Amino acid sequence: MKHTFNEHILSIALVSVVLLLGTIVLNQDKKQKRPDTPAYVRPYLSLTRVDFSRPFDKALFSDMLDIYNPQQPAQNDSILAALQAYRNQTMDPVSRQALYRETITLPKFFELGGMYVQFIILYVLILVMTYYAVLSLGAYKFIREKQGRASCLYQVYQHIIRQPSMRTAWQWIQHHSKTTLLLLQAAAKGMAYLFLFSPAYVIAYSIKTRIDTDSVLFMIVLGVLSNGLLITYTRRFYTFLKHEARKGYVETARVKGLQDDYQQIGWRQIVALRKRFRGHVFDTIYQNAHFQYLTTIKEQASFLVTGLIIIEMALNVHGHLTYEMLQQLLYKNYAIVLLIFLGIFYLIKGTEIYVDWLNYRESRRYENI
Amino acid sequence: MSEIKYDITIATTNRTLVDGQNFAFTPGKITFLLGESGIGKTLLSKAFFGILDEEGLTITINRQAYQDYVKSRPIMSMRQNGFFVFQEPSTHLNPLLTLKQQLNEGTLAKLSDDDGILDDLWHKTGREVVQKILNLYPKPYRPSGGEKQRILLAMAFKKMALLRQKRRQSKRALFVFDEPTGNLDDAYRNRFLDILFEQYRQLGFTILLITHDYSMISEIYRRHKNIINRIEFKELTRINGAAVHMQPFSAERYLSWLREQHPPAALHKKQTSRASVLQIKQSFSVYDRRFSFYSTAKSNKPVELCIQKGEMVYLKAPSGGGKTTLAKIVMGLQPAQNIRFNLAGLTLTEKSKGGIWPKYIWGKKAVMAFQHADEALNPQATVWENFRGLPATTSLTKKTFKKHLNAVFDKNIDERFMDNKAGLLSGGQKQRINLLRALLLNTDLVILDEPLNGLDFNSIRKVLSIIHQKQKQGQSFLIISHNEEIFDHFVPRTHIYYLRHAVKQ
Amino acid sequence: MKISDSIYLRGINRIKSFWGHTLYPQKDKLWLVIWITGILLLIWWNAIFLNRPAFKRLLTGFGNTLFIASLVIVFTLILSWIMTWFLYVLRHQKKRWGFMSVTFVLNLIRSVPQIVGILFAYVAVQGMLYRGMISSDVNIFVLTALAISLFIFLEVVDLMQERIRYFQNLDFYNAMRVCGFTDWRIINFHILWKNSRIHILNKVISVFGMAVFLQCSVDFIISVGLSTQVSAVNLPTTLGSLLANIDSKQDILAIGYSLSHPGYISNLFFKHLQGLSTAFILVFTLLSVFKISNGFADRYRL
Repeated sequence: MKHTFNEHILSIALVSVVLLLGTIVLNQDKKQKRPDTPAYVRPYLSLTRVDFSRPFDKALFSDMLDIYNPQQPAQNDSILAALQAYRNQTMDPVSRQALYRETITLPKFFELGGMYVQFIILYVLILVMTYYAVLSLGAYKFIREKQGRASCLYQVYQHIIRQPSMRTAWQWIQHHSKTTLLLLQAAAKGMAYLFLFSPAYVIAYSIKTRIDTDSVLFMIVLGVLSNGLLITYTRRFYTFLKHEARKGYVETARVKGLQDDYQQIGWRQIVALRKRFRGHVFDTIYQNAHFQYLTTIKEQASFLVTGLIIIEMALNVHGHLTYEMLQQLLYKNYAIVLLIFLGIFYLIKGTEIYVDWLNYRESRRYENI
Repeated sequence: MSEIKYDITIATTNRTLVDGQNFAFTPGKITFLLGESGIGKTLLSKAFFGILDEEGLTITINRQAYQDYVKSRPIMSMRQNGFFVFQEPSTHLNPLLTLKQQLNEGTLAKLSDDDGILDDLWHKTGREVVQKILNLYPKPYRPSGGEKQRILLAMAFKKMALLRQKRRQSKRALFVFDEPTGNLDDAYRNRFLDILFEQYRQLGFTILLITHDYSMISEIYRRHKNIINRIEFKELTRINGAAVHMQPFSAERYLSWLREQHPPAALHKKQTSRASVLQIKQSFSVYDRRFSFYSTAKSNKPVELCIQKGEMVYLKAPSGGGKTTLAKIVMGLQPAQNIRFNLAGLTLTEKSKGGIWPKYIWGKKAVMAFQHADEALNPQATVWENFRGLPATTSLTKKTFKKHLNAVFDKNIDERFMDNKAGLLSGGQKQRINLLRALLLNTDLVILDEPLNGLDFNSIRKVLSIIHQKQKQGQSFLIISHNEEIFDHFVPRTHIYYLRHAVKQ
Repeated sequence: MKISDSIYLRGINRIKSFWGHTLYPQKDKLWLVIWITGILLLIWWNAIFLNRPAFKRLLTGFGNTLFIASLVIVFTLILSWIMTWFLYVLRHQKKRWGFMSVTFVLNLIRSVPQIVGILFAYVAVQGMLYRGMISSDVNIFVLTALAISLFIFLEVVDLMQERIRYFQNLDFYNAMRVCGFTDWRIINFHILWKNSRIHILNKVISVFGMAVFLQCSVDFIISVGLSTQVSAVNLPTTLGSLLANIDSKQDILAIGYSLSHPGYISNLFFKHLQGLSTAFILVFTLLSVFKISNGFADRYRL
């Protein structure tokens, strides 16, 4: 355990030093590269309504300057020339990027900090929700299967090959309406599967074009449901359950006369926050599978971070941490990118340490000390 | 009551696992089921008991679907009143509950007082020690295999005690013990048999006991003569493929064979001048424990273990007493804290570099055949692939390999046999192949760890004769086995060593 | 009447037995069939109703995505095998520091979110493109595939190491060593090939899904981000960049629109084909890969 912690701390220290050094170096480097526009031009840059590429706007602007500063036509001309030059500069892709250059200042740092906190809150919320959903759905799937219910497609198949007598019209209608119903059910299930497997951007863009900061709830729903996160880890937990169910001690439990009829398990037990199935063989299976699943949380968390980043970046959610990161990456403000990256790295390391500690604590419970 | 017969077939979608014709025994009697490992004893008895997990399998019993069989009245009551003690106690205990909690689960909770049963099983061990064990979680090394086994046995005995309260049903109950003594020393094994037979005398339930431990037969003939008419010895033999047949096993045949075996007189008096193949100093230590060799069971004077060319030495120790550990240390597979030995001219100590073994010893001076043949062979590779790449002195081709196989199997081996997956062979075949792989290399020393494990009577005799033959050709053997009865008859007294904790001086 | 009846029944029975005995129990094969049929149907539909340039783009995008994902598989296998063998050798020659530092670096890579790592790599590739250091499409494919596999291959390394460790705890590993078999043969032939290839194959299937997902996401992100602000050098078309196309976005939006206006649904299949097909291929492939991998694992009881 100590060894694991040491390794975590070492890697945190190492990455921090490297990235912070990188941030500082890049941050200074950038300052000299800022494009210089004469001070007297700056106020006019914010005139977004004026499009200097149109001769009409240009003439209008020149006239306006002449009206406001009638004494200095030379200066007015130079302002216009500077604006023109600035515009040419911004059209050129290389210097256009220079326009978006930004450095880490204290206000910027606090702005990023706010985004970071928001990111963490989102992450933790989604992680907890998916964790609960994975356990419940996995248990549900396992129990359903043990109860001997066939899958939708199989039911359709069974229904079709049964070839019942269809002498009266009523029977005909009955048979075919059941077929339709089953097919519809299968189709709905298929659609649900497709939905759960869609990358977040596919779902999001089919609903709206622009996702803004106010739709945090929407992002949480996306985070839980999309990218295949839920379904992949449900399946993972379900395989754990299946593996445990094959183990020897389950046989011993059955021989000891523990209940092994899965019809007895109610849905209340399945959706409960703390799931116990006292007196049932499934309790043994569930507790063991759950114990094993603890190590998988790490993987689930890192998959979730990837999903969350995809959501924020792909949906252009302004004012969110990783979208900011993408933007700064494209503007080549590598100092800010490194800083944000460091933040995400801390988050993941934090999760790893927490999960390791959780594992350690849980396995100590069953250790013979 | 008369014998009841069952025809049981168990198949996956691809192949039949086992097809047990006339799986038969008499209710109210004790049936000992012998037979080589991997033949399907466990699978058949689980199916019969109604506990086999149907997932991915098709099971029919007497042409009846398994679901119906499991739910039929007599089987239900047989199962509800009885118990099944599974093989390998370490996997059959829940790692997340203490042993005490597991002893009081399900129907077992109805009997709260189990002190008597535990005292009986642990014999003479103090109650506090037992209570301490009960508070443990089952972990790989602590509690030990024997302790876990006794916990499982205690569960069965609790069930028997519960039967006492409803005597009328006791005749219907079935108790299955699958290899119950694999982890027990002889003393504890005998203790278990005493208790079991005592309970049986009082309640008269049905017992099915699966084992390969033939020495149990001698024990019964020695100490439980009065119950012998209630015991049936049966053997499961393979007819062909998956089809197996259950037939009576003559206990007398085994006993008379055993009486005929006499250890050959020691060829030479012990002389240290002769070139010794393996020589280990009096004592060694590992895991903070110190072990010594003794020449008799009661002696207090440690001796040097010495194997000379062409000699067979048998090493005895209580179960979990460091036998296999010693073999692994000698073969450089495990570090020791303190040891000094001489192996075919090389002096090795605990400080020797790990690189020495692959370079000079493995496959050149010494080999070791491991305990579980089914673990020692790669089950997914074919028989031939398990041998290809062996650094044999003469290059091994399929043709020469076939000759070796013929010698081990006493008959002309089919070409196709070499392309069979090792995992699909029977226990006896696996063990023979495992031995062949070790013997083929003609090394000076061969270490055999439990060479008779999981073998039926015929294979035991064959394996012993192969070892004998090789010994005559000048190879030396170090044999590690808990099967004391057979090896006491097979190895001269002077070549038996006892491995025990060192006496404190 | 009778004859046609029996032919009908025989046909039904044949389908029944093929379905019941071959396909239904082997869900991986079933889903492979479903996947290929679905994609072929979609392409056929598009060939009829989608305009040529868009159709061509769709096909290239799909082909490129598959090609990159396959490259990722190849690189992942090679990288992970080399790494596994390297770690094994380090561990067995008791190079404690070497082993620890390599695992340290690997753990460090593990702590980088895959998407961020791949994004950085993509930006680097773009930078190289911009400076003219690489030119041909194949080079870009190889580089992007390498970048993706660098952040996926650890999963396969973990699996291989876990398998090796599992067999080291069984007697079989020691039994073979003691007989004088070489480590090379035991690890590569007996453990990895004979006993783990099914496990590795199963992992490879899911790596394929991961590769498609990550690559499309990164492409999508980059295309969206780049199209708005900074002029980009053109990367080869993939499903992801195709989806980020402004036309495709409109097409996808039509799904939501038709949910509220059910009368509009029929238009989805004719007017909005490009975006919808792209999205469908992507999602359907991900789903099928998941199902195939599950069926495979069930069949071999992994």
